[in-house]
Amino acid sequence: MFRNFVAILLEPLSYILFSIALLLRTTIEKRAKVKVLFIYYLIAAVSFSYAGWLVFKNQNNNWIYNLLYLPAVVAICYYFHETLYSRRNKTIVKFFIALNVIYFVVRIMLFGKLVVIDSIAYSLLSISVSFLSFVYFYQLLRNVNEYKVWANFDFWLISAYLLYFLGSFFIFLLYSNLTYNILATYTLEQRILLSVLWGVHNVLLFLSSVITLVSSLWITYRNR
Amino acid sequence: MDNLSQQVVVIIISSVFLLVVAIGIILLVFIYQKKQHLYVREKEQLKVDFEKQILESKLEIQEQTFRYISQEIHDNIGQALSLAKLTINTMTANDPQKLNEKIDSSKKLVGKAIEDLRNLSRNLNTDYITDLGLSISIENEIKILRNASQYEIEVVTEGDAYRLQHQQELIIFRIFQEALQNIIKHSRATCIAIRFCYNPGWFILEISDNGVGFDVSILNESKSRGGIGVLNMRHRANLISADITIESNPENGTVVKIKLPVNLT
Repeated sequence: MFRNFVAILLEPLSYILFSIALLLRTTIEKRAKVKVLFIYYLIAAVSFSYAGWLVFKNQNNNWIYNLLYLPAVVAICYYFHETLYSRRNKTIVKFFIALNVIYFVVRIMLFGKLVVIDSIAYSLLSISVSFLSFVYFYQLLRNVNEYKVWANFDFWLISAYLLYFLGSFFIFLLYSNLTYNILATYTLEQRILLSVLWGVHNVLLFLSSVITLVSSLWITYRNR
Repeated sequence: MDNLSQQVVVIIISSVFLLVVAIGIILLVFIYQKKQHLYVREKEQLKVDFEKQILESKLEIQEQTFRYISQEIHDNIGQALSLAKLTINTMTANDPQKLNEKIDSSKKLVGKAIEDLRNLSRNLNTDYITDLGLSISIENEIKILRNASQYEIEVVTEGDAYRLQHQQELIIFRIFQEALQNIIKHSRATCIAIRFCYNPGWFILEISDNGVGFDVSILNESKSRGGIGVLNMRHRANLISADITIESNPENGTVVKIKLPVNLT
């Protein structure tokens, strides 16, 4: 029961928490970057809830992950583009967007629809977001102002992204390989092991969503 | 199966490791940014304190200038004119010889008052000082002193002379005047030596005398007249970030040295 909760339900719950955090944020910050991210997380919450339901029905849900890869890239990278200041930093963001989009297009043309989760895509997304997080921290340290960093929602969101994407990097990188390795036998024990691994990923995602929601609540009510 | 479970364990350990690394990086950023923030605030506070000190110094100097004007008018100009009025009041037509003497005396007194007023005006006129430059203004002061008194005054210039900024020259000139006043009033000196040192990195003006000297420790008592005069010299020096040192020993004379860093580029 607990394993099912962690492996299946924790993921859509995390995206719901992200959506709530960003909805709260849109009440204060009217900028497009927050709205775009909110829309992505809302769609992701609905999609991954459906993905969880497909698991209960013993159906393949990997196509949802592969489908949501590109919107994730666009929404998150757009947020970074609007958060980073200098032209050089914005160019770095555009480079990562281009890299991910090119990979996505090439993958569709060469391999078509995948039956397993696209590990390379999500690993690429992890590297992109982790790198952009470091670029943001560097910008933060170069531009000291009178505002405290813990009162800055961008700091908390990007910290949450770093925890999730860096922590999940190896899981993304090796998940499809592990899945391919067990396809021949696909025993219950093997599926349980893989679900434990995916459960670790979900815990990291949940942790980052909680950080985002708590910071959003705290900053919103502190300002009031 | 064992192979798979081993792989899963390794992946989980690696993920935990990367998670710890990420937490460490975030904490480092948080702590470093907090330190930077504190540093910026301290710097701002120092700047505010310094500006307040500068303002206080400027007000103090302004007060001193008003006192100087008041003293000059009362001691010299006022006295001369009062004496002239007294002389005119005692004039009678009965004694023509005495009348002529009193007219001459009154003319001299009024002339002295006019001369004192001119000197006062010239001293207060900052354009006069900045137009001539520091070294020429000081040399003019020395000429007046040589004509009016019996001091033996030596002027030495080291290095190629250059102009300082207007405010710097004005403030150094005022400090020089203060130092000269102290020599005239207190030192009982017979010789005064003035040294200009023009160096690419700094400018030095040194005023020394062979007078009675004094105990430098009394300058720390801000309530003493000497203390107030030197305090004003220090305030003026602070305004232009110059360093002022006073060395003196009883019976060994006094040396006042003003050192100003300069940037000639």
